[in-house]
Amino acid sequence: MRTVIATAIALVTIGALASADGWKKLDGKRVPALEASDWLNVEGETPTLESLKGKVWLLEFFATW
Amino acid sequence: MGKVGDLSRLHEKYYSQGFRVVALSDEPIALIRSKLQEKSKAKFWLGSDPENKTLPHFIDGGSIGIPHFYLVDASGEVVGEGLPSEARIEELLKQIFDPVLEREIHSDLDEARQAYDAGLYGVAWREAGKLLKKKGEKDPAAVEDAGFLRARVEDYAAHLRGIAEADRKRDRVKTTYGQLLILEKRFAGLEVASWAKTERKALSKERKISADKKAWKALETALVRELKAKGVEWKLKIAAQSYRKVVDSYRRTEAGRLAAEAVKRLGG
Repeated sequence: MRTVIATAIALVTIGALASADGWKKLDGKRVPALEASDWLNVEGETPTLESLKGKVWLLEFFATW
Repeated sequence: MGKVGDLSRLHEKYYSQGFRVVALSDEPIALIRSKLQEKSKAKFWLGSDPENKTLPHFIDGGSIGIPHFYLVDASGEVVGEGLPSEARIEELLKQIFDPVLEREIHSDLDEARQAYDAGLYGVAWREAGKLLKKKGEKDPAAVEDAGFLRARVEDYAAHLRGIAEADRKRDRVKTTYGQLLILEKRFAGLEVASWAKTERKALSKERKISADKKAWKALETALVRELKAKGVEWKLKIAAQSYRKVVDSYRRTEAGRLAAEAVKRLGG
């Protein structure tokens, strides 16, 4: 993961420059996976691809650093 | 984008309409808890994926920077990605959740606009298509607006279809049936309407629907009346009366609930 992030920080800067509003529309690819060993702020059902069907959701890959 | 406060605000603002923010990191849950949940008061869903089981499936051999966002629609398809501003994300959400057109449209598209505002999305889509054929590249402003209008109709249809499919999978027969009826009538002319018609026909045989057959028929009549009114006020009043009758006669049914929503929407 660290390697992926490290090699990609420059790329995202280039990507942001390429797209004026920082956003690229995609042609509806099925969401491939959603897995986590622990969740916070979840009340009731844990988020899964199944439980999120019918919802619109924004997935953020983040780091606390 | 990426500020915790911004994401929390969007998560809470659109939560009741079915929007969620799901944030994933490969860091330990204890660190996420202390930095994001306790210190930054993040309100959205936070996950720890230390074995990195999710991200590789999204980047598919490529690479991204962190943070990075993906937007997934109601049918489970990834419809966009990047590092957008908060305003851009909100604009995308408005396009999905709120069918109101918030900007001026070229005057050559007046008819399409009126149809759109009256909830006749199929007619709006068709009218905008006619303009595209006629104008070609001659009038870029009109062509751009026609494309915008059609994209809005298509996005909204995809959103409603996603909800209907999810409800169907969960065996919520009555709510699915209501959504299919709306898709079929409001989006007539689009592929989604033909799909909805077929699905609705299949569902109509189920006991949960056939038991309320009269209520559904009355709702359908009121809906068709509303669409035929094409936004004309006095005709809409008649449609509202039809909806009110459905509410009065079939109060405890899903059709009655949808009719009550329509009465409210039409200002009754």
